[in-house]
Amino acid sequence: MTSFRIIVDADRCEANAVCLQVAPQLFTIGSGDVAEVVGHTYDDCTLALATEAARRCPTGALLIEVG
Amino acid sequence: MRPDHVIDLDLDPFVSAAQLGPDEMRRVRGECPVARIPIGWYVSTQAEVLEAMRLVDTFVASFRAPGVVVPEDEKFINEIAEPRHGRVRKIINASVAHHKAMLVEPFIRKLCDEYLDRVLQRGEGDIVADFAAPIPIHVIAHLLGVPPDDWARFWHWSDEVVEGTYPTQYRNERGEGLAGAHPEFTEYVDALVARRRRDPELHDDLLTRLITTQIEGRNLTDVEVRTQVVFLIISGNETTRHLIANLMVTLATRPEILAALQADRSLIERAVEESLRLQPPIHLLLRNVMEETAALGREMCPGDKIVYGIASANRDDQVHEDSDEFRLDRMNWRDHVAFGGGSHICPGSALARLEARVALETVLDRVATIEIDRDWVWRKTPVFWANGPVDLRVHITAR
Repeated sequence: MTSFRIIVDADRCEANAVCLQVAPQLFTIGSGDVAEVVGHTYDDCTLALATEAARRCPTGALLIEVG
Repeated sequence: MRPDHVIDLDLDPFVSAAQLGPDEMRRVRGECPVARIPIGWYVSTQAEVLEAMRLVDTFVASFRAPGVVVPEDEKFINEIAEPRHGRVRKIINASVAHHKAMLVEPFIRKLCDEYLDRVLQRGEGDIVADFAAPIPIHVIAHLLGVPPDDWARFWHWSDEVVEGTYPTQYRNERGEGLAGAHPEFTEYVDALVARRRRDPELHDDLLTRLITTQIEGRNLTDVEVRTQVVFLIISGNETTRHLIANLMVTLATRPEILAALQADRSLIERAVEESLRLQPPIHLLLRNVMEETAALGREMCPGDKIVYGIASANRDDQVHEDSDEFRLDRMNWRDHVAFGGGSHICPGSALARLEARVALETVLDRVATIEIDRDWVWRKTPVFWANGPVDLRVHITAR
């Protein structure tokens, strides 16, 4: 299984919530109107979803660190 | 993909009737992805449109006619430069983005049912006026906290602003600015803002957030709040109406698509995206060139306008095969720019998609047949940037 970490840049996040549309099991928008990571399963399928969410984030606020 | 020769295209984006047809778009894409037009440039391919959309400081949104200058506090959210744009946008996102849009689904479903009831009872009607138009205007009114008794007036004023010259000229024959051009609507929105300022702690809607959120150390002024409220009304009203109406035209003219959707509901999301791709409610976007630039391989100057040909980019044969055809079997069905792209992507996209999905589900649940009135012809909305029919006369039967 690939281990990876999802980092949200809170300064860049504008709560477009595109990550929620792509991967609702991984993200939520917290009380500070910033994306937060909620999921705890880190398999290849989840990595693919997280990567897609990062790619589609309008402000480039998501970083995926693999390994 | 950037031929050196630049073609001159005689296109005036402000003239509603002067739109390129599918064949003309294809010719322009093939010959010259970034063509000259009298007021600047026209971008026709998806790769170039996406590239331009990322350059948010070089190309700043403006639907204003060339030379029209708008005071800072009457700039719509899409016209505000970074970094302030992002700060204001965050307030709007916090109320209409995906996580908040989903909360109004039951409200939307109820609206769709009620409006479809009336058409079904008569067995005929105008799907635009009786179904597609009232849904988005009531949803935006609901999100803003406008009392239901005022919805009819709200709808009328919204159409009046969109169809008038204020959005492009910043004035009309009555006067300048929103207050001069549309005094009744201005007065209404100002009263709404004033009422909310008295008890913001009792609410958690969009209007309250616009009033209470601090940006760069201060709250938005009354005029700034009013400006964004009016923009949300315009953008939430005119656009989603056409999305729903265009979908309904497809159902009424393509019985095999209606049958496919009735047989397999998992295709609904694709149908919404395919309609957005092929009949984007906003078929072009306008930007001001802010500085001298060689972006997109052209020498552009401040004062030029740049037009993003959304309708053309969505039919780009480099992205979609058989691109003029409505198909539910595309692999890359999300690859369109109907909501723009980059950091200025439409903040209302989740809400628009939700309204379209629920409208479509309601029709599929309750309607057996839809037939277009034999005298009906497709007539485009007079709003130059919008793409949808002014009416859609149909005969329908219940399931």
